[in-house]
Amino acid sequence: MSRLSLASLSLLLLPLLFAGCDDDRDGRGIGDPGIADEGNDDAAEQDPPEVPEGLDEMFAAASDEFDVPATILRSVAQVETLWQMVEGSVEFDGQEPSVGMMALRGANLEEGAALAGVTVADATNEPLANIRAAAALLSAMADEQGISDRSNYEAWAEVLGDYSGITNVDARNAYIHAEVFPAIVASTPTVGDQGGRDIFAELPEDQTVGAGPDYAGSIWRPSPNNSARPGGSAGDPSMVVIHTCEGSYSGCWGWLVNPDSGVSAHYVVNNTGSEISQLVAENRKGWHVGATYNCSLNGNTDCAKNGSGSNNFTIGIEHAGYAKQASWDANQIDASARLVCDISQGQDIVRDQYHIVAHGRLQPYNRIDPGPNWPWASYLAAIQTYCNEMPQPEPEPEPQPEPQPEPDPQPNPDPNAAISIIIDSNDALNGSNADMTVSNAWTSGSGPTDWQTGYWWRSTQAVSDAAVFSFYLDAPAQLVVDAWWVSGTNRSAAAPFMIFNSSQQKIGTVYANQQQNGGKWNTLGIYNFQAGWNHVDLSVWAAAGYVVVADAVRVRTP
Amino acid sequence: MLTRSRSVGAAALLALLGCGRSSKDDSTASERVASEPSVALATSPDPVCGRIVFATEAEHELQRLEWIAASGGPISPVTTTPLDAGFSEFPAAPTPDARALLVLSSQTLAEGQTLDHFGLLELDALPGTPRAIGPQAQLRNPSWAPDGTWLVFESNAESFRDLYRLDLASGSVLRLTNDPQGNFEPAVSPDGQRIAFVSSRDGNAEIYVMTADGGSPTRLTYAIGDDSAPIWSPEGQTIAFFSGRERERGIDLFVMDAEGKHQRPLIDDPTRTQSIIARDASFSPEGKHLAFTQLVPSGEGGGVVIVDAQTGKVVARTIGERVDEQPTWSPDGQHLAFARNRGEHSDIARIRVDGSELVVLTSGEGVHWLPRWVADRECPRAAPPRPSPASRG
Repeated sequence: MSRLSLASLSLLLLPLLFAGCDDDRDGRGIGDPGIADEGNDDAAEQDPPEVPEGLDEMFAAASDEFDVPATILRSVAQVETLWQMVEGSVEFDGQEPSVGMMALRGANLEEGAALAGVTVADATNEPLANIRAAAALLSAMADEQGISDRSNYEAWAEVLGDYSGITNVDARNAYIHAEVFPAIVASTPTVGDQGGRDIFAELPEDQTVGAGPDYAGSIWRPSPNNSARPGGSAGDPSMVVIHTCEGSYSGCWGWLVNPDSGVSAHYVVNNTGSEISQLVAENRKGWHVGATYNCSLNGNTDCAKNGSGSNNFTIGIEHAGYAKQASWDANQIDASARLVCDISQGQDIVRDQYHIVAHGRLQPYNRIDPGPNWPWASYLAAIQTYCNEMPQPEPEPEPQPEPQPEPDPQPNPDPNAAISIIIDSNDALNGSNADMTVSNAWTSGSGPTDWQTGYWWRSTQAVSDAAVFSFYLDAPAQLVVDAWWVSGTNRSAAAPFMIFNSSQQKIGTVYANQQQNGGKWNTLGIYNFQAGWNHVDLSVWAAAGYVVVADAVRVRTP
Repeated sequence: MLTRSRSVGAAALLALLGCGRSSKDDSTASERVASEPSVALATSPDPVCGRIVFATEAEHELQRLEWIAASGGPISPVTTTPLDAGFSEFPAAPTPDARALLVLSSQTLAEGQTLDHFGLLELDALPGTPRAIGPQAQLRNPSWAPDGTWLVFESNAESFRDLYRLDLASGSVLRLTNDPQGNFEPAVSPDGQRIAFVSSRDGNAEIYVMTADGGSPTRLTYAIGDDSAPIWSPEGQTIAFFSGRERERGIDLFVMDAEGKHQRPLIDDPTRTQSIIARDASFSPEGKHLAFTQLVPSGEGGGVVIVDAQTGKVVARTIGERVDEQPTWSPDGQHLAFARNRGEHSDIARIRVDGSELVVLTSGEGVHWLPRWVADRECPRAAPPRPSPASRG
């Protein structure tokens, strides 16, 4: 796949989720039109999707030509693509991409095109040709099934199941009975003398389907494709990864619960937001960022944590649809945002673009590619809104106490007068009774909370290379020693200040925590100094990986 | 009077805004010029100089670095790295003196991880071999100190994501931040004394500023929605950033002063009819303009937009077939290069700051992207406003 197509893949996909593969389960009929409302209390407010203008004429034309009810064509297109001309992506060996609003794929595409007498290219790119190819294919499949009364929708069940390509029995049934048939019902108030859902005599009874363990608005469809998260912070969910199915909802979860697929996600959201499946408990590791996935371009920026795989600490959400589709249903985005809000609250996940990310192209020089299609801005905003996250009041910045420069220390001839000498890291500001030196290995810095005009800093390491703050006393004196620094989380928690008298005797050592209390004087103790040049040294010999800050030292009469 | 190349840009590939230079010249000429950059050079009123380094997709989606003269010409390799080395190379950032390029080499690991390392490549004799510097981990968003002696970057080496400072002379790496919620996208101020960055330490992505050694982290923004990707104006008085704080704007470009005051949306674009997603912002070297990529959320593509950095009024914008993105400024601030996506291919293109004189520099057959315009010794440079000198100790 080229860079360009990747560029348009705003959301990167599991290796294809085209439905497929065998499965095992007994045919538990999932759902009927009511299932959506059961599954998601919030679905009631959504508007039913509307077919784009002009398409009904195409469906009608294809229906007349191939004797397939237009309602079936329209409903299949709704379930598969929400009537968008899509260009599916091959992300998984052996899986063909699906194309057009009818999501024709692989041999179906070629066969349908041949039956309709159109080229594969037209069936891929032209709406009418795509519909006609699908109609021709469905008609041929109906012949094989021996459907005599084409207006009997229920007779189409197996054809629709075959058309979907879904082999997981539950998912296939859900595709037929919980997706396509309800779409037919919704769009067909009356069919002949049959009204509404009565056209389906054998529509399955409402199933009692449990909600997912972590989200009440979901249906629990457990996938065996999960494993334990590592202990500790390495396995603490801290990110949500957004995927697209590259196919229909039922095909998507059907694939993800298939033990042979070897992939899963925690949640799947359908293409109208009316139903969400939970497949994996949030406290378990889902297999949604595939090992076979090549992310030289698409690698998720935040997909590694402490050298562990991204599945360890992420929660994956699949969305029915296609990364390249032109737009996303607002209700689907809304339902997903609501889900993500719930996840972020339950798992204490930061709600921002760095923690709610596309499984998408990730340029090593950059972070996420929001891509042209997924509405990241409104999606993140909706998540914040659901979490009632109000902007924090803009606090008046704490007025930084403007450090009152002490009066210039003058050599005090009166031994009884109070002493206050400040030794600044900027030696040019020091009087004749103060001096400051550092080696070339120290680096200058400045910041809003520094003393006067800046400071020196150096990384901690196993050498002393002290910054030396010297001051001259005419007579011995007992003085308080204060130090000033610019704090930060990367400062040494035990910056070693060593206090020397003029005889070069070390009269004290104080380990200061420079991660805190920056921008103010911090008392190191009271010491007896001698006449002459005494000094306070700040060594860099401390636990590695931090810095010590030499900004200013003050000595003063207690 | 329109030059040929200028008419090319206007007629064939570019929509001009506000400068009234649109032309109805025939597109045959434009295609010819677009494929023969030397013609454009001959007729260009302001010669372009320097070269444009970019990434080109090779086999197995591996990225390799190539360069082309900004005036056009053949494409040449930048590094000698063989493809079977198994990693991609990206043009991370030229050094401030433009003599070397920071190259990011990225190796794909299982489960979507990458193992990256930086290399420094002298640009005097190409192709060359980048000299490996710094740690091996996932590395992102490097930003050079103005004197080129150190850089900052973000990495997951020891945490979810934190910021580090790499000193070139000693090779020492200093961790600057430590928050489990992550720190991102550092940008060194023009005087080298501050680092603007993004942090989610307070539960939401916001812009912070700290000293160049990690001190006094100060939060500047308090907005619902993400604030991200801060950049400094060349004189250091203004920080531009992206914000999702106004939903109807989408993710748009905002500005504030370096202390966080006067936060406001920058763009004044009466033609805008819907929310946008902005990214890839950069100030022109003298600070007069800002260029960025503007994407339309509904997938209708996007283009490079050039605005007045003071007023936010649109000076010019490109409209390509699909998406024009990743603008990079010429050293004199008179031109930009960008990547023009078109179907399965992507080209490197060049325009003047007023949107005229569009020239597609590459052939249309490859996938070329991530352009970085690098000065050579012949290049006139815009004189950036000088930030106040850094105070010492």
